[in-house]
Amino acid sequence: MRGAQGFAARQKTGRLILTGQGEKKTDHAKAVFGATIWMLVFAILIGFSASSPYMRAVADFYAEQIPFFKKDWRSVTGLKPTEHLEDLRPDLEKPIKPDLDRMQPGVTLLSGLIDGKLGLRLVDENGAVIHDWPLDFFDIDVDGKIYHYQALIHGTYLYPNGDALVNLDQKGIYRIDACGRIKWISEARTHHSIDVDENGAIWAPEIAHGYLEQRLYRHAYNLDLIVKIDPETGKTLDRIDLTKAFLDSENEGLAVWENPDYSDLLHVNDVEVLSGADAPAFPMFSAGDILVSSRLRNALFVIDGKTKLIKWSRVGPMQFQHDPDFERDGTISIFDNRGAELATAENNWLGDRGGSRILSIRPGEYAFKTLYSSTKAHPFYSPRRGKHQRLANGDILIAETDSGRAFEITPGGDIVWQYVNKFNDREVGWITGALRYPASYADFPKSCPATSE
Amino acid sequence: MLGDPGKASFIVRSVDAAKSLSRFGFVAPAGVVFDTPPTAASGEIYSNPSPGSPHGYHAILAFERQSTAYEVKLLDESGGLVHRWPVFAGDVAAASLVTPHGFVILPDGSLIANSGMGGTGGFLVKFDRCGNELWRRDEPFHHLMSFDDDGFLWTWRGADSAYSPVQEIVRIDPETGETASSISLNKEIFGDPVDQLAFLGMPMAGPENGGDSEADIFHPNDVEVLSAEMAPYFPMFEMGDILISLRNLNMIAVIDRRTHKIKWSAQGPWRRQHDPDFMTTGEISLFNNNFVAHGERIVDRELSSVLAVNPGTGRVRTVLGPKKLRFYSKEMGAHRWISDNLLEVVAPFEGRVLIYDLKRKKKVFAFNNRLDDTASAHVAMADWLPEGFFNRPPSAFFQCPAGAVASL
Repeated sequence: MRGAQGFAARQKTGRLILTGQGEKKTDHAKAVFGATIWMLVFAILIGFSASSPYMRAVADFYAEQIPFFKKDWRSVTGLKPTEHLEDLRPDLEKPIKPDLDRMQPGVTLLSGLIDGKLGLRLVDENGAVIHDWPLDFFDIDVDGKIYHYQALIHGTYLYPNGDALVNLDQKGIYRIDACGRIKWISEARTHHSIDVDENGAIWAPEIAHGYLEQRLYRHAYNLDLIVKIDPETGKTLDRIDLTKAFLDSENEGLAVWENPDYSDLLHVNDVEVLSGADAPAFPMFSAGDILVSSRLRNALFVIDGKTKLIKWSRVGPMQFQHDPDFERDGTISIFDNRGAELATAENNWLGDRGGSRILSIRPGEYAFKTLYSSTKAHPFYSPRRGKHQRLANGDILIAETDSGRAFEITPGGDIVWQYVNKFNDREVGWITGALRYPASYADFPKSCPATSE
Repeated sequence: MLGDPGKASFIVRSVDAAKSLSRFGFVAPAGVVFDTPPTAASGEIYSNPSPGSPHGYHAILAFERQSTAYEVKLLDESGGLVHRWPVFAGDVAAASLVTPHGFVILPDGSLIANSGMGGTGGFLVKFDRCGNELWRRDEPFHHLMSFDDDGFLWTWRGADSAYSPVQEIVRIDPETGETASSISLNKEIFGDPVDQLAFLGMPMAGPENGGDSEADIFHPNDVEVLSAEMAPYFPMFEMGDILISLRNLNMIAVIDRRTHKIKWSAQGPWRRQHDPDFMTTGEISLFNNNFVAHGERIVDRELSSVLAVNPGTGRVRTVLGPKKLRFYSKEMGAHRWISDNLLEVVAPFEGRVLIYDLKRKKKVFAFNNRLDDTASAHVAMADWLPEGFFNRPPSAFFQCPAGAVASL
């Protein structure tokens, strides 16, 4: 177990480096220096660009980064986490009072950029803070990290004792206790969602590089794996090779098409295991089957938990979707981002496709239902990221990540609970996850040892 | 498509030409000749019809060694030659050596064919029963064609070529060759509303979304309209709805005839499929080429098959696979339901047309476009025409004036 707070000096633990808050100034100076070097390199490359096709290609690559630097130079230089910030949408300026009679009772685990830190917060039904896990994931340094704010939390999960799982994008799952102490870091370099199956095992997508399987492509490509992780140790218990699954099930058509992005063939962003309790509602599937979401393919597919063969798939109507969930009524609900354009005042904060929506599909039927979408008074849009949770009372809790909002809607579309993650008067921080738990999940001890801060 | 002669070096082409001349007595165009599969029947024709089978004719568009060009042969049930349309004359013949593809025959014996492949620029042409050109359009019409209930012809047309990422479905008056109506794949089907793009599974690609303006991202290869006869088997669809196939997305879809919105679509498990057809079982069958997009045939199981998908449930089953009949064509290919039990498949790159009796589990007909014991020539497409299809018996029907190119 490793403490995350108050590190007076760097403590290297394998690929992990934890830094205390007191070292941030040093990080900023380093980041400014690093950014300056990058800019010099960039300028030199531009100078060489006319001389060779190769250099032109390199220069083109860096030129493509200009919009990123233009928007997020402060993030790169450590001044402000602008990558995790968006403009405050006007409809979110006015708070919505929680409807305690209609909302699903319980506490809500939020994740994202919270009070300038990357971490977790537990709030009550009135939105009051119950607990902030005292660990800023921006402080976690790992191999390949270039600047302080280069980190992103996707999936999270809360245990009754205050332990939490955090999937730090492409870096692995962290199990931390209520005081932010790291119990383990997964062996697997996971990303995106977390699913804890009925036996307690943890499932997530894992990055995998450099396949060369000519039955799919005559070009090296990256295709995610699916890993099953021991909740006590973080060790990998099982691994599903999606290339093998496509080939063995003779379902390569779902993974092969013209002009793919070889660096990220499918962009798997969610896996979820069908429970024994939910399985009877899905006559096509069995307990243990695995639902997988491919963002780049607008596709869902289900892998047989025993044979590891793909037994069902569907492309569209969702687009860039996240977080498909098996539901007890035999449907799959989906956070359908419909993300192409960014949200701006010019497009009424809805991008170019009318905003995001929560979809419901039933495997074995082609028709689909929209459970929720934007209203005139309440735009709903997150072009990337986003999660949702069907609640016991029929409501849906939605993490509208890029708008910095978590909110609960009734089946009739009424907003009965809302949390807006304001960074300042004009900006909101991304909320990458919102999960409702019974109130008893807030009963864990919250007093932690004093830190050096 | 067949091999592009332009891609081979002059020396390689010269050596191939010399080999072909020595072996077959003619210079074979690139990509037209290949090894005969070991399971092929020894002769050119194999015919062992099941009792009670429907009577009709085989129409086969194949490379013909005598004329060193493609022609359509009309064969009777036992494989006897009834007629031939040496339709690809003059400059059309030159184009045909690249790849003729779709053809349809009309009851009056006329024939409409296209060849938008291989960078020829493409054409759509109608010949009468004697091979006289009735009309012609030099535009990139391509792939399989079909008639609707009103007798109009449906086909694909690329903007610049058959491989253009900008495509439209065209409904053509077969009498005049004029376009009666068209539907833009890019603007109407996938562009309005833009939500439709989601069904492609590649939402950020495409020339109108900042993608590669040259890439053959769709490769449409079939269009077919749901007839009044078949509509009752498909409660999800309506008469007139349009079934399309997009090879490079491994995708088939049904388009609403009125709104042009996608009513249903599916991608895979088939690979690089051709020729989806509505079935009386309420399923959609297709020729699954089972070809790796960027690879070559690597493992033996990569044989083609005919699959059927239920659009209501998404369930896919193998109708005719290697366990029953082994055939393979990495590109092109077609199938046709002659009856509920008789299934015709075209394996172009084996030079074969096969008919399999699913009930009796046996092959009942084979056409092998043999050149010698081990080599066969390309078969582009085939059709089966029921007895009574023609206005008059073909024996009398095809008597053309002296000197007409199509006279037997």
